[in-house]
Amino acid sequence: MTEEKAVIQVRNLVVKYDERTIINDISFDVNRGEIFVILGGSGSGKTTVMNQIIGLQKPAQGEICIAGEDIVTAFGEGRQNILRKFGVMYQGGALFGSMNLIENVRFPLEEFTKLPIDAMNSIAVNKLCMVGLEDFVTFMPAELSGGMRKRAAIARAMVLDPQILFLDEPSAGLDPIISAQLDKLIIDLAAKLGITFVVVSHELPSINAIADRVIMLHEGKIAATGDPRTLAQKCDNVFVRKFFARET
Amino acid sequence: MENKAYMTVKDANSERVVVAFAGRLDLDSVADYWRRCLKLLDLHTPEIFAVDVSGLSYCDSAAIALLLEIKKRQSEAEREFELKGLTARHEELINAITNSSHKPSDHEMPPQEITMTIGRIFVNFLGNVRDNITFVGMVSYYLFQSLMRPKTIRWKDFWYILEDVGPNALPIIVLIGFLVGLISAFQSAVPLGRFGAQIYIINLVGIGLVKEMGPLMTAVILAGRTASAFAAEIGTMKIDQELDALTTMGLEPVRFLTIPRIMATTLMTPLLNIFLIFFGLVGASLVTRSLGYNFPIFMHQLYSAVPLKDLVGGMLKAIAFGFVIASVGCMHGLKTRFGASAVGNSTTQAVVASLVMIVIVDGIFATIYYVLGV
Ligand SMILES: Nc1ncnc2c1ncn2[C@@H]1O[C@H](COP(=O)(O)OP(=O)(O)OP(=O)(O)O)[C@@H](O)[C@H]1O
Ligand SMILES: [Mg+2]
Repeated sequence: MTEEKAVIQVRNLVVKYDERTIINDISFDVNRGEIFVILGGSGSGKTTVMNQIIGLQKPAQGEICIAGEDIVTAFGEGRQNILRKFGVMYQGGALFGSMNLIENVRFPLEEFTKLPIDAMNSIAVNKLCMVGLEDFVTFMPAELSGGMRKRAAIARAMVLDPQILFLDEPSAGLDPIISAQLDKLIIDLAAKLGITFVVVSHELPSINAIADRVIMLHEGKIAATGDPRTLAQKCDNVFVRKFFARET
Repeated sequence: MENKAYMTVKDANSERVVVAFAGRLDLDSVADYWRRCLKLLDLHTPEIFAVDVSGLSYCDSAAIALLLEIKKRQSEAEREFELKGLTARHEELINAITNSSHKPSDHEMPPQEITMTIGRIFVNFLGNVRDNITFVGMVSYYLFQSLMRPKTIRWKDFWYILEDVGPNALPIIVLIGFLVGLISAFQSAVPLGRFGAQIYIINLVGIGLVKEMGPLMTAVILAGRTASAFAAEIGTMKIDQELDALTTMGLEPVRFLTIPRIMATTLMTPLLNIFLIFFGLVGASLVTRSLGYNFPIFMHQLYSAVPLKDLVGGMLKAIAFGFVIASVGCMHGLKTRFGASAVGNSTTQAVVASLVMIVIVDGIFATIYYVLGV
């Protein structure tokens, strides 16, 4: 494995839906161990960019490398190896509706490891503890609130101990306390386990708390990039300043 | 409280149209006046269209929308629009609506020409056919792969689906089978009786059930029960991004979800077919018994009337039906688009498409059997 600094490299990415260009030629790197936040207004293409990186959609143009391997062209074993490097939490959680929480979290272990069932259960419960859901292990996803589903989804995304975690709007719909707990969890995981985070977010307090670096998407381009705490003052892009000042 | 809105037309000629509103102009009352105002516009094409709103006790955004619409039409025709008697409160409302930072862009909807519509339908149809062929190819490949390496099949799901497709469908299969046998025997009793040939009821119902009605009715029931369930299950999973989650875990959803379903259905359809035929014959035997042919006669006549090869032919057909129904159901689930009605649409399409496919496959089998002389 290459010990490069950049764990994700995006080069000249162009994304189109039919004729509409959503992302127009953007490039950026995500460094190993950092918390990288993708910002932008609603509909600016944050989820789209994330879906491109995790290989759910094929770009119209451009290269995307994860840990030095091109995910766009990979297939078969090679693709499996790349997929095993990261975990994903989707915007709505995407828990399997037919399984209860512990089964959901255990699921990747069942598929990809040969651990005995007790071991899988204890790992799953441990991850659920980390997101504060230890009292709900036998609940079905339909019996949980939106925020609880998201936290369970984070637990599932972490269960195989990936190098990279993608989180789509983790703190949207959470109350400030849980949201702060989650931010702390993210910071801890990044610091202690060296996990790289790619987080899509709107929530300014949360961004300020966690982000090492952000990019802001606007009209298909990267409008700004850098440290969120200084970006607001330094940047001369009107949209960026409005975004941080919460003006209209 | 004043609940009604009134509109008076004070002036209406090509020079100027003046209308005055009074009362409470809101979402409920505006529709009538909307039509009348636009009619006035079209009729007179006035240089000045003036609206007096001084009498309004209340107006909401629907009323404002009417005013803005008239204004827009007038300015497009390069004519004038006047608004009189605006109170401060109304003005605020207008400002709030027109000055919101997101102006509605007024690009026109492209005109729907008949040639374009036909073209689009045709292109869609070709796309569908291509999808179907690709899907069948993909599924066959995965199925072959899975059968070569049985360890990769999700046996837990398989047993669960097997139970749902098979045993859980038994009551309806039994009921329909019994009724089909009973009714066709009963209905043929009178005409055959005229020729003193009531014993041939057994031939008629036996051959009919074993060769055609059995597999067909089983397939129709499964199309309504199983294809729709598969489409709805998989469609809901897609909308909840569960399929995306599977994909990024490295589990191919097509293989993961469809293979156990297709295997279970293909296995269960011939078994259900046997049940349907059996209970159909039970129904028929009740009728013949009441006509005086006891059970041994029934069995004897059945043996001589229905050769084993017919049963085998019917079974093969049932297997093919099972494969087609499960594939079509899964495919429509996977093709679900986004939105609340999407799952409903896929479910409907799955049922309709499986029924059509059943007819087509039945036709193919009829041709093959005819050519082979079976
Ligand atoms: N399947 C699709 N087909 C066509 N257009 C799409 C599709 N998915 C997204 N888009 C378009 O792509 C753009 C970006 O969507 P995306 O979901 O990436 O936004 P987002 O930044 O994640 O927004 P939000 O913060 O609301 O989640 C939107 O303008 C949307 O209309
Ligand atoms: Mg999004």
